[in-house]
Amino acid sequence: MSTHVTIETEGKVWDGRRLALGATYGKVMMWFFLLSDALTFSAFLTAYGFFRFASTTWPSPEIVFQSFPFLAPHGGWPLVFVGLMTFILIASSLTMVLAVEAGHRKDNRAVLNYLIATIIGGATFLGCQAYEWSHLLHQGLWIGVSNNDFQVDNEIHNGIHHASLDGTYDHAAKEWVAERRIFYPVKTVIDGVEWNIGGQATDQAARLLGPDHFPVSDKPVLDYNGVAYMNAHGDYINPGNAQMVIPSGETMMFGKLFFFITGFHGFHVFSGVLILLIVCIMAAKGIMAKRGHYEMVEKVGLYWHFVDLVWVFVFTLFYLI
Amino acid sequence: MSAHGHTESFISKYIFSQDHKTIAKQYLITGIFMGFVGGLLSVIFRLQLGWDGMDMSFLKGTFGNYLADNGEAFVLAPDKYLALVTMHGTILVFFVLTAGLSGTFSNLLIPLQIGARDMASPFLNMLSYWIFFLSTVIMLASLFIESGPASAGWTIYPPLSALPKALPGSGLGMTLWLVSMALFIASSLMGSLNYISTVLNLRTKGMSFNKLPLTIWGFFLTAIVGVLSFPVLLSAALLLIFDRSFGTSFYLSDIFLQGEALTAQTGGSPILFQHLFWFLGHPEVYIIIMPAFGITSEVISTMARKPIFGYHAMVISLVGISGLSFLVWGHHMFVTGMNPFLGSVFMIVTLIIAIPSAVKTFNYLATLWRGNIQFSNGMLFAIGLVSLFISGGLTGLFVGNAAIDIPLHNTYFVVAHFHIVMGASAIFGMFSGVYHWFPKMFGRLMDRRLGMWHFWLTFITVYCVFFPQHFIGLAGVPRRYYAFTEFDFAAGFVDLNKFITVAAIIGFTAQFIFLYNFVKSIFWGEKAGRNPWKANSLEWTVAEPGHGNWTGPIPTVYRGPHEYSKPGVALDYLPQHVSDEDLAKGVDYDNEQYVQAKA
Repeated sequence: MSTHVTIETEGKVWDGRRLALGATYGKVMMWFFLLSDALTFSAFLTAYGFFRFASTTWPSPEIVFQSFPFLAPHGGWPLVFVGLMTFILIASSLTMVLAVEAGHRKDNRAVLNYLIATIIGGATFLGCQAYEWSHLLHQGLWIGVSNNDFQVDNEIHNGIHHASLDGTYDHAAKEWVAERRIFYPVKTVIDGVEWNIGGQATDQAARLLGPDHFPVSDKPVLDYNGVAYMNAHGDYINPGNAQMVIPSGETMMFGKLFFFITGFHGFHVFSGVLILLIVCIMAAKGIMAKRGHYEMVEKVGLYWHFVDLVWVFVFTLFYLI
Repeated sequence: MSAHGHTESFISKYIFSQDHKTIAKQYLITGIFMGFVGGLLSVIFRLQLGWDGMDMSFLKGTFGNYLADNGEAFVLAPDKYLALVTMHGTILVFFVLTAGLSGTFSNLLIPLQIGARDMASPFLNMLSYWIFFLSTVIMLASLFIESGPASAGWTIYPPLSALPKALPGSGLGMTLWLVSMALFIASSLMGSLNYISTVLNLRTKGMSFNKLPLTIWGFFLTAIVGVLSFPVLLSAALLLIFDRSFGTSFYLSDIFLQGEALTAQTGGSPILFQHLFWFLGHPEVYIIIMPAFGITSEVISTMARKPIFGYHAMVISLVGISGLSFLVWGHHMFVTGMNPFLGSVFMIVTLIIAIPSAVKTFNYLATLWRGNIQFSNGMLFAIGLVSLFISGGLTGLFVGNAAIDIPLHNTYFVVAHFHIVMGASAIFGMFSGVYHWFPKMFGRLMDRRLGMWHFWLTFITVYCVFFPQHFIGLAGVPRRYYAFTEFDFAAGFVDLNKFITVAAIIGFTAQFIFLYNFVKSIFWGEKAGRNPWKANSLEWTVAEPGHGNWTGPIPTVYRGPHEYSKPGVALDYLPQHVSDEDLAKGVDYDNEQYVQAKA
């Protein structure tokens, strides 16, 4: 700032120096874009809250997310994998900060290296997400139902009810339930006996039906809250390293929200990686060194931190509570 | 135009232009076109409402698939009536009053009034227009597809919008609607980011926030409200797209028709959509009206030759309206089974909006009070806005109150309320702006006599159309009904509906006077000169703005924008770029040389 004195009559005069709140217009734009994007995510997370509060039950994350590639593919390591994913993403934020800092020092070499590290972090996160999605998909959790499924679904659903009346499942019903391990969320009362409530077989049902009538082969079955209600011999057991059961409307809603919101977040990470690649190429070509400033790096940095911040919320809502 | 005769410069000057003034004109012309389309649709369904079962064979050449053969004549098909209502609302709310109004005047006035050579990012600005144009084309295309356009109302409530087989228009028409709106939201976001960062960063020296013209305050706050609310509509639309196409059920719960389940998609809630939609939907009405407020403030102050009454109160009430607009969406949902306690919270916040609104209204009136009023066309429409805003605002107190809203919900009373307070008001603000800033856009004045005809015909017919609808609504007639003849309780209003239809047709026809005036004045209007209204703000220091606006340096700002009829000053206006020293020296700032030296 210059040292000459100006006489001002009405307090501080806007000097037209083109920095608002200390930021250039590009950064102002990015901040407001992030504000807007935050509202988009807020709407999705609000929808999540809307359904979560309306549900009486909800899948337990320790049960849903307990596998780890190669080391524990069938479960038993609850939340370890997502913890690693989160660590990788947060670590990529750190390398991003270092890239921005290197930009301030105008150290092109360091900017390039840290950007590459950030890209690797982001891409690894995406890979982990792909693994997790396909794993859940194999377990039967998916975003929706097709209308063909619905037809079968309805028939079998009715089949179960009818079959239950005389105490046996017909073959189709048994197969269906065994394959998909589906229980229904509604309360089923037949002849004054409560067979299941909220997708969970009642004590009475278990005793009346006996082990043969449950669609269980040799594996103990957990309900979606992680409570094992019986083993193959009809005895109640405690939660163990059993496979998850995919039941009920709440779990369906969990799946829809999970794939939608993590998908939308993953799309942001993917876009971020693409933008980082572009900035990386610009840095490699020395375009920003020629410009004399690294504001591009700062702007993409703001975006990257935002995406990480959103992940913290997504992580909390889907994996922790 | 031949495809070969174009030079690169023609395209970059008139088509893919990055000049904010050209983009403003593009928005304006697109907006006017869409306004006529939306108006025409309303005339068609008004004819059906006035004369139920009317022979509409004349639509055969254009909207032939909208007709149903009832044995005697080709009448408007009932589902296409819904389609027309939906498209009328969508086009007017989004394409005319959001993009047409905000897009035109934010683009034209923000750089010129704050003293910037262009928007912060001219490229993004151009992209914003062309994405908007694409969304316009898609929305218009949906009018002509076999199954008809979206028909679930402009609010596209599920399940009508979520089940592709619910109505003919719920299929491809709805898909096109969603695609078009997704593009529209992207365009709106780009535009808003530009407006915000331009106002924040590119103001000329001396243009502090307390010296900004009220237009800029209106556009700036509108852009912020848009940036915060449109993304939520995007979220709602994305969830809807997934429900329609990917088998989710965010908005669908058990829906049975004659005992048979319509869909396997269960577990969701249509109320969720309403919450998300109205979180945009309510701020949207302020996105529409605040630019009109800004325009009105400037025009009234300039044309009454008086400082705006209570500049700071005007700014604070705009800020207040912007903030409150996010807290009131529930008042659209009083009848959704909402907890009455929550309803009363929404009600109280809604009624609090009456305070800043009343502050604005009284300030307009106080500015007019004993002013040296010049009844230019722009001024007439500005005063018309004040009149309409009072009439419509008063019924806002009724429908904002849960106890009164519950019986009035979804009746013609609501139609009357929002058409007056937000539809017609904002249209009047837009006309006011077009007449007032036409000289800055095209260097010529619009014809005053034709403008008078346009104003009085529009003003009178707006009241004739919408005022009687209050009574229809109070009698309990629901909106969106295809015909009044089918029900005893509504049959008494058949004649009144004929009157309304006639008034609507006259009002629509009157817009052709405007169109003629607009086109004629572009080429043959009276030359306007640099500052035809003797106004204070910076845009009037530019003669025929080329790219970059000012040929010399950008003028410095020394005072607020409303110093009209200042005591002790010879002329009745005192532009923002005249310094106190110059004023003390007694320079003739009305003189062309002075303005040129400064600009």
